[in-house]
Amino acid sequence: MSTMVTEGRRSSIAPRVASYLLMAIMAVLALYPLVWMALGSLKSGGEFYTNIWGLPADPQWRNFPDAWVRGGLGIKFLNSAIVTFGTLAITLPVTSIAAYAITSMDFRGRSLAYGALLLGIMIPFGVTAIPVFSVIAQLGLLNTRLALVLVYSAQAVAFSTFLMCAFFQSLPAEIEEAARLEGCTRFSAFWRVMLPLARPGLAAQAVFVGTTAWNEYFLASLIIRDPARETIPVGLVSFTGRYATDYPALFAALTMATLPLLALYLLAQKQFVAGLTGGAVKG
Amino acid sequence: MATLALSNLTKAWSGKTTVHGIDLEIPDGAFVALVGPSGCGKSTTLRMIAGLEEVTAGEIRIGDRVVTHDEPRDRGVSMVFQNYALFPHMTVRDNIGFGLKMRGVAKDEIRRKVEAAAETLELTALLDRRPNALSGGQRQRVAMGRAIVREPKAFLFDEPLSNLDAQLRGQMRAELKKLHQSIGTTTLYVTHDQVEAMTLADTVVVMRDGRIEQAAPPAEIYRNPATKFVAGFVGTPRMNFSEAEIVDGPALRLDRGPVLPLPPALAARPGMTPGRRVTMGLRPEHVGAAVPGTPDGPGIVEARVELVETLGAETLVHVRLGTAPICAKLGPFAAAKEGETVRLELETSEIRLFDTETERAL
Ligand SMILES: Nc1ncnc2c1ncn2[C@@H]1O[C@H](COP(=O)(O)OP(=O)(O)OP(=O)(O)O)[C@@H](O)[C@H]1O
Ligand SMILES: [Mg+2]
Repeated sequence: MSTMVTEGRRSSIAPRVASYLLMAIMAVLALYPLVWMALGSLKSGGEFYTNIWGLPADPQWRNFPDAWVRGGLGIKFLNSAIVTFGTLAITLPVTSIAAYAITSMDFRGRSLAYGALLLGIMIPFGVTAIPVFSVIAQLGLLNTRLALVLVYSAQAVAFSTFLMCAFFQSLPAEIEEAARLEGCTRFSAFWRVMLPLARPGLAAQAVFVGTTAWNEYFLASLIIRDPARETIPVGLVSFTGRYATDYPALFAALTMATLPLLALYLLAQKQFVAGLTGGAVKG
Repeated sequence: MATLALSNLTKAWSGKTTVHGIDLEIPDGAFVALVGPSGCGKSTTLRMIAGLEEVTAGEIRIGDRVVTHDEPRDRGVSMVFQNYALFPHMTVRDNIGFGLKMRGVAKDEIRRKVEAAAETLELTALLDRRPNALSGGQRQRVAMGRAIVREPKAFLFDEPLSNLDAQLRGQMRAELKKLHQSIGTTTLYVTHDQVEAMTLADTVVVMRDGRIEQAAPPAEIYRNPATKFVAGFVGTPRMNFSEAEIVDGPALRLDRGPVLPLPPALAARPGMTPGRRVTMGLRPEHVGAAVPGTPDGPGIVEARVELVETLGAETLVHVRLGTAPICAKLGPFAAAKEGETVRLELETSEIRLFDTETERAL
């Protein structure tokens, strides 16, 4: 009896150690660039080249206000925020309603709609850049932030709807049916019962779509000409000169640009609580 | 409260019909149990009544309103699901009060009604918990509370007790019965469990392949099954069947087995002509041990014991009469041994006959 127990324990330790080791490696891989960026942002221009990997000898906190002023980051943060929130304001409601309809309503063309989502996911965005640009031009939206909002939303819709479909599918259908028997219309069943239960999905989507919109460079650089309407990724280019790049300033700007994303992650993480649906069904 | 009437209710999925034109009328306040093997269309029928499944043909009436195409919320029925389907993000209080809230009942009144329902179901101490902090039995009660609190015209239950352990199931069954006696709401109750069906219902409806085989009070279903299927489905251990032939008398000869007298009522039926093939049915409790010293006579048979199952309150003895396997339900710890020969007495007055072709009772 006792030998069996110890054997059982011994054999379960090895995989545990291995999994922690693996997670530690992944964590270092993920965090190292961030730490390196933050450290680099505190070095002087000279130290940046002489002490590439070490801690800053004399932290240059003024790199941050300097970078903020020189890059005109205030207006760029505002632009990026407008574009990101605008994109989320469109994608979150549109995709959750669409996904709810696709997963829980019976209508003609439902599987066609689902297939269209997959098609939308498979088309690489690079291929669509030129057509998108000419459509934006024809709509007279060149050089506007609205154009970015529309394009980012359009790009996100297919995958986000797909993601939300997966979330709604994971909820027991009886919960929605119970809501409808208890007096809900289709929409109020969605709003009062299904959507609150899909919060982890909404959070995942917010992180995904938000990060993409916040970081997007290529289309933003094509569509926006006016420096006062530039988003952060486009604005950061001003730190890289033709002959020399002010790396500490660039890193300081990058560090500041990352902070809102970190905040978004932390906010969203609260929603990923395991077992939100626990207790709905038999136990 | 209201009558619930189904006429020619039909459901087909992409051409495959799973419910074939059901006609059923449940009087106001009645408790009807719907039983049948897995996949026979019980849930589908219930879901059509609830409005969760579109009706292919036929009509559903609740009270004197035709609701065939109404939205679920407009039908005034409550449903308890097998997996309870509570709202996990709401407290017990909000779960139970949800239906009232959706109907715009005043807050005070919701509070009062929820607390009264919680009282009945002994949930008062749990009102502010979320479903994930409840046991299976407690979740079951919450689902029940949600169903009763808004005083629906009818209750629909889809195997509500099947996820509970045997003891809790027995307890909830008794409470359900009390509940129905006190509020008397028309109820349609789907179950796999014969004990539930027999003890709770005024009328048991046996379904098979999307059709109703028989609808009758529990005792009638048990004593006078309309078909061989019903006879075999209701009762444990199930009814013994043997292929047989009518012989002169008229009497009954089991295939390669003994000749048995027919009950007078059956013998008097027209068509009991010698040579006719029939299926005999006889329940295990009507096969007993012959009292020692009983002279040979009609209904006394000898058979070799193939298997003995000692259940405590009773002993099941499996023998073979002619070609047919027969189970006898004997008293507690009856002295029967495998391989030995036993003398059995068949209560021939309890014999039922079914047409071999149509399987209908004769
Ligand atoms: N959405 C559906 N699409 C196609 N066929 C279905 C669908 N739902 C159920 N069926 C079929 O309809 C038949 C009846 O199913 P139903 O769920 O009513 O059976 P049931 O009597 O409730 O069985 P159980 O006792 O196992 O719950 C089954 O053959 C099933 O495969
Ligand atoms: Mg079922």
